[in-house]
Amino acid sequence: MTADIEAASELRRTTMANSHMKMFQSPLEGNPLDEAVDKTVALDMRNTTIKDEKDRQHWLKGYKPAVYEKMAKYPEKIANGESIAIIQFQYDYLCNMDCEHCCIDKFYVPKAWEAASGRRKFELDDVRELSRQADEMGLANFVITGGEPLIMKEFDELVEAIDPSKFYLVTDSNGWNLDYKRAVHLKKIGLDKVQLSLDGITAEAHDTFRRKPGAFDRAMRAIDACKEAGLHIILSTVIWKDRIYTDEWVQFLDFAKEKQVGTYIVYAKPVGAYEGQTDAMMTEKEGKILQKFEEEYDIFTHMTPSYGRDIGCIAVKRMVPISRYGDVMPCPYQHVSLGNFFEEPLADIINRGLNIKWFDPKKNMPCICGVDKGFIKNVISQTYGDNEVPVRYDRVFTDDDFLDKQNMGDVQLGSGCGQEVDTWKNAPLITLRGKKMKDHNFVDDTGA
Amino acid sequence: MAKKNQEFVSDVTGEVWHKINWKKWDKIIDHIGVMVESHNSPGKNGTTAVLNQGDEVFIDDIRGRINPQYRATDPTGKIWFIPISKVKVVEGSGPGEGTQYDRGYRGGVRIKENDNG
Repeated sequence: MTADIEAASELRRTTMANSHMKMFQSPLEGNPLDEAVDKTVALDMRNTTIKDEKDRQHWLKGYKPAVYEKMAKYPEKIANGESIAIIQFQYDYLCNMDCEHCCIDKFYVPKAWEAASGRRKFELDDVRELSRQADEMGLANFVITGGEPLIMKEFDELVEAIDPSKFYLVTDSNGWNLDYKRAVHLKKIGLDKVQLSLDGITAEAHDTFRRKPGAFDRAMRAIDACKEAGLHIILSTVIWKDRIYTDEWVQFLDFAKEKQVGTYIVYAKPVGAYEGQTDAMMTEKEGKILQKFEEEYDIFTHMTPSYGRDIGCIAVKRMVPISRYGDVMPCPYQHVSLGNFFEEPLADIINRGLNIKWFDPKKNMPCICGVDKGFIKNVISQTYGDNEVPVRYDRVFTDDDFLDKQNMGDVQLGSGCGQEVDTWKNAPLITLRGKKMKDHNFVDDTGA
Repeated sequence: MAKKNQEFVSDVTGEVWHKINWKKWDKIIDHIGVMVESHNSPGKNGTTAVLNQGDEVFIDDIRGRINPQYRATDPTGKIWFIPISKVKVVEGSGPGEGTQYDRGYRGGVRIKENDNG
């Protein structure tokens, strides 16, 4: 009996992998597949919840073996204090919505002025170089973000330049331009997942948040289109302190459960449109309430344990946003540049970031830009107001913040006040012991 | 209600928002702007810097689409990011057509060393 189940399971894994090989003909080679089997597999893929994760790991092994091999080394890399960062790639800030929680608005420069001003921005050859360096570092995830990626005219070329055979490739989207035909196409060119922003389960709530009448209807269409096309989709929603106590929040989670889609929960941060508004932000208390919801619903946050370890804050360790202008940042909500891709190798920038105590790869830090008042006061607040973002690291960090004083880039010795970073000092070491772990989510961690 | 005047009220902050349309950048960059209302900016150690109504600033960059701002300097050289609704651009106060704007940037941020503006 057990052998039968294992055999059936193996068959399903193989057919799933083959199905995706067929859908993704280039640049990987595909296998011919029986149409009847293909239909069965397509139906299976409609229920793309996090619980299917183990199946998707096996699917990945057959579909994108280079990615699978890199991900298989992640636990070892974490143990070695290396970054396993998702590249959150802000290729373009163009957007067709005006969301009130936009945290990136201050990065946007009107196109004609951008060209005239002399700023260097990513071209497709730069993207190829970024892809090469990220692959060389053993990184396996790219998230294309914006703006709204699916209104980029050169989206397909961008995907090709990243090289989907080397990366698990996700795009953020508001779903406005995502119908069934597009979903099929995205899957065909090698995209693995859509992370769809949804800020409410009524048109009134969602459209108000997005300041775009019709946004909710388009998002609903996008969910169904992706499921129908067999393109993995998860929801992404912003949580703030008050929302977690509302009926609407539970209704949202029930909606996602009914639709059988996982949900990535994004903490509202006191940056961007919510600059300085710390009262509306989540506290440790709401964080614990959210953990209770995690037990009942397929939801996860950037703090959800991954790869067999609870690594805490993922800044630099598991996430590095890169701006359209090459600035490498610790997290999407810390508008601090750790260095510029057009000036230095990506590995050097990331390794300098890991040398900053707030991003110490050995420490289990809290969500520092969300709840750590010292970090918000000393670092985040320096990105507010009249400070042009991203603020370079040597303006906000001192030698006190660095572990190895020989690798501080432009930060001068003796620039600090000699006081220890308490949050870092008190943070526990990353360990397997004494922590409640979810299953090793091979693909879905942190929403990528 | 006309689409361009449509207002949205935030469920989180209660703020009212409506879309602001852009003017052409070459009628803004390197132009003088006059404050049509005062603007406060928090400074260090709890201080507040103020640009008063009628003050002049020099606009040298644009940021933002949802909440667009001018990057501007006041006569003392302080850099400000000011919501565009608070500034009236003085027509004809900028350079003429064909001006080359070859400025120095490090990543997305202006650097003063190579600034021609």
